[in-house]
Amino acid sequence: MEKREYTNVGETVYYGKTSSGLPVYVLRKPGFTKAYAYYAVNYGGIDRRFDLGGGWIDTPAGVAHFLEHKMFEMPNGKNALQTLTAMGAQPNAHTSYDFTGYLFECSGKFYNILTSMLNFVGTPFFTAESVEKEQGIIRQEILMGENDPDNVLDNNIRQCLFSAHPLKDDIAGTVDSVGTITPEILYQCYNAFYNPANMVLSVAGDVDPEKVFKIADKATRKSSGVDPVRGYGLPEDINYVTRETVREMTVSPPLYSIGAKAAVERDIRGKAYYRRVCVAEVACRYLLSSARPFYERLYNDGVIIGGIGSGTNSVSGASLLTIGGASMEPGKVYDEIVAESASIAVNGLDEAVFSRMKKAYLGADLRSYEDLGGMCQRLARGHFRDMDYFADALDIILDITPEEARQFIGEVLTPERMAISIVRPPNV
Amino acid sequence: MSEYNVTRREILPDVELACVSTDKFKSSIVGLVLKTQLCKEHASLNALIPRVLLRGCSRKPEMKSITAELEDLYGTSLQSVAMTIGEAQCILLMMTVSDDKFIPGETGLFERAAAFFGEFLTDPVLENGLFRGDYVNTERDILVQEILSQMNDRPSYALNRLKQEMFSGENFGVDPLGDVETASSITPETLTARYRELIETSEIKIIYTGSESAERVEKAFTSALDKLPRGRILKAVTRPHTDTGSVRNFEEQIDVTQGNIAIGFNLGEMAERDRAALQVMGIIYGGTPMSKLFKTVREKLSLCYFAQSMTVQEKGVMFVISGIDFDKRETAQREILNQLELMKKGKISFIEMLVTKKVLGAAYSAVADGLAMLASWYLEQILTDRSDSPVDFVKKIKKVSKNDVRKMAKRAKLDSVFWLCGKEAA
Repeated sequence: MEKREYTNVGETVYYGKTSSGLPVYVLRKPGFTKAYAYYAVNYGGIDRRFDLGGGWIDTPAGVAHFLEHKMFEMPNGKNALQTLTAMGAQPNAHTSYDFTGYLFECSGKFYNILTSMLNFVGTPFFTAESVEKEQGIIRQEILMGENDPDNVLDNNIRQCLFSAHPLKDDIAGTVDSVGTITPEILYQCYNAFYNPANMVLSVAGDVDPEKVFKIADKATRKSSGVDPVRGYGLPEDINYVTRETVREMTVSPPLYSIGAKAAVERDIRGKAYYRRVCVAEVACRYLLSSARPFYERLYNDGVIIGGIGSGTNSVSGASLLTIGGASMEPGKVYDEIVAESASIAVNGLDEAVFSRMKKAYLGADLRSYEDLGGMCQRLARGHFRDMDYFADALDIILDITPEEARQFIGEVLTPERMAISIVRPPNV
Repeated sequence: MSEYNVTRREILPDVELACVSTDKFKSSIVGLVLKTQLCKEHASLNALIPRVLLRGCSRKPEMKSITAELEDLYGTSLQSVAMTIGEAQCILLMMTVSDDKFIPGETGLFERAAAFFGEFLTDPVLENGLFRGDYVNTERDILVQEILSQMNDRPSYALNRLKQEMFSGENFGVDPLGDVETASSITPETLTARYRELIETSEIKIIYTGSESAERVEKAFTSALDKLPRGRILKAVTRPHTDTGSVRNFEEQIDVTQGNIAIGFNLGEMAERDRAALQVMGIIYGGTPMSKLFKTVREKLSLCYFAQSMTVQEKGVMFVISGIDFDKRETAQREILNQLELMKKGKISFIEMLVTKKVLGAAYSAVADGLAMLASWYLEQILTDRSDSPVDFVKKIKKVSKNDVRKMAKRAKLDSVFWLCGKEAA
């Protein structure tokens, strides 16, 4: 394996590619009791349409997430989640829009547990009976989301912003779409995406990198499959689709999510990708900073209740930023943000506030290196995006200028690109 | 050889400081807790106090200037949380600060941060001797909305409602944020009066976790809190649950498409030595993917996505919560109770015992890996007058026998069921 020393953040990472084509990253952390492993597939909720050379194949919404659930079931009738737990690990898995991750943390028997995880993810086993049973469990998971106002807000804002891109749909699919999933569909998608070259293994802890590599090399086989071409529907327009949706639910107080379409280009990678994400985050942080009179006024006037949060989500062909919270007048929050953004776009940023805020953002980024589970995910995400976070993230953050943030705000936080999703009680 | 040292000292009357010194991290956490009796009358007032305190001290009376000062202290963060342990309400003020030894040319960062922290507690911005009216009103309105918004998270709302009903008339039924009615009636006068009372009469516990020496921390806090008035301390007491002798059923209908069932069990007054057995029993029942509830209610019967149990040693109670279809309530409840009956009969496998001890052992051994985990472990120790290291507690877990678990399960008596469902389900 190749040793990569990152003196800027004081970390050492080992990297290698197995004979099966699986990239392996090991972040060595001497002295830590716990070790973490993250095994990810470059396949998520948006990858519903693909071509293996014989024409487009369309699959129901929710297959990636369904597969993640089903992977734990083994041909011998055992459940891998239980096997790993029995070995003393805390295993888990999750599906995002662009990838699926299997992970565990443990304080002992790391190599045995790792072998076990690589084996179960490498063993597809789906029967009609087990698929039907899982449909029942996932139905309850989807219903839980449908009754969770934050989840509804989030789904609705993506529906407001995107017309064709699958980012507009829930990762888990719907009760109906999940009902159409069969063992055949699961095998088809598994074979298309679960290839070592389309996956990554990252490990962090006081472990031996060479031993990890050997285990990964032994446990994975080169696949004969071709790399699927992915389809995300017609290219998106940069403007919103629906300006506002309102959903009545039993909530208190009303909740809102204001979204803006940040970009629609496909396959942005490397430093350009990360810079774009950071600019969006820094710009939102600046706009909503409690060091600025704008936030203090909204807070003191009770326009926002308790606070306001922001986030970004960026996948191939669609990226958005969201600003959300609780308010008795969500429409007013929207108007205020539009007006404030327009004013920043014209007048520029307060440089003292900007540089102090960047200092705090940098501090938070530095502190994040203490979260080893998070670092594993960062290595995996970086691999899929051709981005070396350890080498470049700090420099990119330091390099962002107020002018870049101003341009971003002026371009993205405009009425043409922004929509609002509201969840409110029936009587308001 | 331990990776950290723990020292505990009373630095002011009834102000205990626990220092966990470790070189493993690049920042430190300070938590200061005002521990007081949980009760309906004071809960909202107590919960509102730290929120108003963090709005301003005399030297930095406004949000903008506070944010600027914290950013200048290299992104030091300050926050407050209201929580409960048994029937004690714990008001936590927490600070995370970077270690100055990693910042070139910087010294005394910890002292400055500690002093700033102390100012919020002992030197709030006042007008005519009262908290500022605009701050009290804004924060009070936010608190009220936050209490109301608890219903947005359906499973946790069902659990909260179960607690309110099951412990009505007991302090344990009071939410750490209090209730809407009491919170709405708070004025600058009532809040300021309660603040003066609280800082004089509550037990104060401080936890420090990081690389500074105990001497440096002690000195910084003795100086930061020297203006703190201390009077007669009123200790919080947790009383055992009053058994009504019959199972009570409660129901609430709201506009949802999935039901949530919350079940409460009474196990009676618990001794400290029961803590480990209670935890092992709760985890075997519904705490991991190997648990009885996961294996049957979810995996075998496909009734739910989650079915979990949680235990509270201080009060001697256990809860189960699960999200299910409306028409599956009977089936789910029957299976949840059936699994407990099996445990009472001693149907606990060797593997279940082994796995549960392993899971708990692994979780506690890793506490030392995380700054926040370490801080929260020792904070809980000083708040519950215990002095176990995570390793000490793992030893106690290891000693729990199958018979201990069966005996513990046998103590669980079904007390109340809360059913949160849709209007169409009625």
